[in-house]
Amino acid sequence: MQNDKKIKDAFNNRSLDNEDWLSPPSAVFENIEDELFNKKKRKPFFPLWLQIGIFVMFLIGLLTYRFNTASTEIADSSNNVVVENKSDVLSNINIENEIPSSSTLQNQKQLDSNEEISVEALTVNDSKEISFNSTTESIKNTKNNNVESSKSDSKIANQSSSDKNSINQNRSISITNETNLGIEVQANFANNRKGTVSNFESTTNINVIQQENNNTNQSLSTDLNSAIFSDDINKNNIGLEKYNTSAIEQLNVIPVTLRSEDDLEQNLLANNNASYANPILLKQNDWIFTIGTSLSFWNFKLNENYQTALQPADFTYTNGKGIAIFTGVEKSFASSFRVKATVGFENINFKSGHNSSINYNPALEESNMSNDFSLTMASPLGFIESEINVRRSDGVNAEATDLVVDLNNSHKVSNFDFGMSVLKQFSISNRLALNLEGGAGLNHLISLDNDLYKFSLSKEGFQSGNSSITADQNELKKTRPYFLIGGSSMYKINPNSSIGLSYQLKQDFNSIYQSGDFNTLLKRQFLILEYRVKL
Amino acid sequence: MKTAKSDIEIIDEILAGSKSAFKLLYERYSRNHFLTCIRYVKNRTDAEDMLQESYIKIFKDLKQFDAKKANFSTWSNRVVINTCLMKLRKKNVLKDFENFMDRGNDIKIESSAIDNLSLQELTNVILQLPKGYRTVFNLFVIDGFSHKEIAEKLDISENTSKTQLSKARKNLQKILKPNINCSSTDMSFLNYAK
Repeated sequence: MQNDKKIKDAFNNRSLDNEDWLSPPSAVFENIEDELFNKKKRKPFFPLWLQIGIFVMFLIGLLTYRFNTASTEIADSSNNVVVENKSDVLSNINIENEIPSSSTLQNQKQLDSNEEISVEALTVNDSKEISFNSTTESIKNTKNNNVESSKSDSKIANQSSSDKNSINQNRSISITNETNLGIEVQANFANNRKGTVSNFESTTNINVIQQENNNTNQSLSTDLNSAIFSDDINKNNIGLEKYNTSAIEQLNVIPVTLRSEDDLEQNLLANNNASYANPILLKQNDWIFTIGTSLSFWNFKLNENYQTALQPADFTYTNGKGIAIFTGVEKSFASSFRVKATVGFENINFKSGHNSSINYNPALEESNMSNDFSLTMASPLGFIESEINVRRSDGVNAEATDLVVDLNNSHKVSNFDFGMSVLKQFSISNRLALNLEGGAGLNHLISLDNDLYKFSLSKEGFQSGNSSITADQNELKKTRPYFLIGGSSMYKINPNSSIGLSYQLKQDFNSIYQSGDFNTLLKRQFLILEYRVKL
Repeated sequence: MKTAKSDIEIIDEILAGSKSAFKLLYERYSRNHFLTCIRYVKNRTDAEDMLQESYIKIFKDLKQFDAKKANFSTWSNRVVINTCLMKLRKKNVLKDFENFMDRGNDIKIESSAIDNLSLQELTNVILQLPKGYRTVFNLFVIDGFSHKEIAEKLDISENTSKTQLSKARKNLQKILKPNINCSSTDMSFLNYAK
């Protein structure tokens, strides 16, 4: 007791002025100041379940939106083209083109006469007619169609103009073929790009073969070239307005003949200037943002020495299972190659257990009939120190007794992952592509929580009491490089986004646990559901 | 000659928004509190974290401080201790009452042995106690908590607290014994020298 008082006085009543070893580093106060006065409140760390929930809700919302707004595709045979035209100077139009569209087209074209023509859909077919159909999905033209213009144009157009949103029936106009036209025009429909034609889901190409009008000073080519093509994806509208002639320079004029949507994409891919907004079929320098959630599987490979040493204790363990979230960016550097950088966070759970021998000694009992034991427990990731309390029942003889304890641990791991990989793409169809992936990265063990959740004893009359982990594994290699291989399939859900299902195998180069002759290598496998959107 | 401001004056200035007053308060008590942190969490880096966390709590709870009930030194030290115990609880070491019963018979220590130790040496002696014992010893002997209070804080029984204290004392004697014949305690155990 006298010592207690001296110790208490030593800590409470001595001056600390000369105890320089007790001066905390200046960084401590700087951190306090930052925390209290300078920095904004740290953003709370979102629990994993919330992150996944948000992602799933986002995905559902997105898909719901897309499925509800996308109109049905129309077969190639319904070759409808939307035109709004009241120009009696419009003479010969040769449109050779197939325009895929998931939207109803509504073009507006204003000519010099300031007359506005509105047509829901235009079809140029073999019978040299242009017809309207508000539900049209694609435009297909035959080459060198001579379209006859008539006075009915105005009438039709006026009707269309006055009722742009309600035209549902097919209509047709005929335009007299007065001239020979000789210019082929391909107008690239790029999103928000003046002077080009944009369309049908953000970017698609429309190809128009336009011939020079020898008989009139005005021609469709002029008007097309001087037109602003813009689209409104949400409203499924395409607006075609008159534009000054400087816009002509912005049009790509190349001869092209397309027969189908496949042809169109192939043609566009062959053309560096072509842009078909498809995160699967990327043009160079496109950036893609990815976010995904994954089932994660950890396989522990204990080396032979470690397994042999633990075998007598009936050591068992489960491989890790958990979930992960990933986000990253991709950049294409060739038509079918991409570089991808991702960061991820994993939460993994696994269990392990084995037997241990203890000797219960009643002589060491204190006020309660129990003994405390300090035990070293094995796990796939090294050894854990624990303390257990074993209680003796009243009826059991007060003799030293050998007991076998069955120890069961659960482990929870948080892991950070950064990886870079190269993907090689193999297109299966317009919407589906497969990728092979290879790369490398680093993963870092953020935390490892151990819990001795259960232990049982081999003899009756002894019960398990309290237990606690007193020391976690301390020979872990927290940061480890790895290589990865994988494959994925991606399905385009709209021109700017796709969903994918990926499998990845990530093998650490170094052991996650290494102590003497014992080591454990980690192999991780992922099944990833991924959403990708073009930036 | 200008007299040093009292704790109350400083606290009033802090509550009025003075950052410099908060620094003054920190400079006045940080060594005491840092020593408390070291006694409980042992590791210097952890102790720095605890000190930082404690002062953030002290600042945020400063409005609740009632000078009529306790002086600032006592109140703030309780905040520091609670912060450290929270840390120990997270590390699941509060029940780490290691059993050193088999180390041999009790060793009686001359009380003068403690007198000869510097504060740093005495700190290192205490830090050599097992975590569970050290916690009870710190709470009871140095910080003046009763066994009932300790039992509540550590979620153990009063008897366990008493037992652990008894074991702590015995272990302390064992630790001190070899040092009696030495000029000083072995400092290689923990490098606290700055």
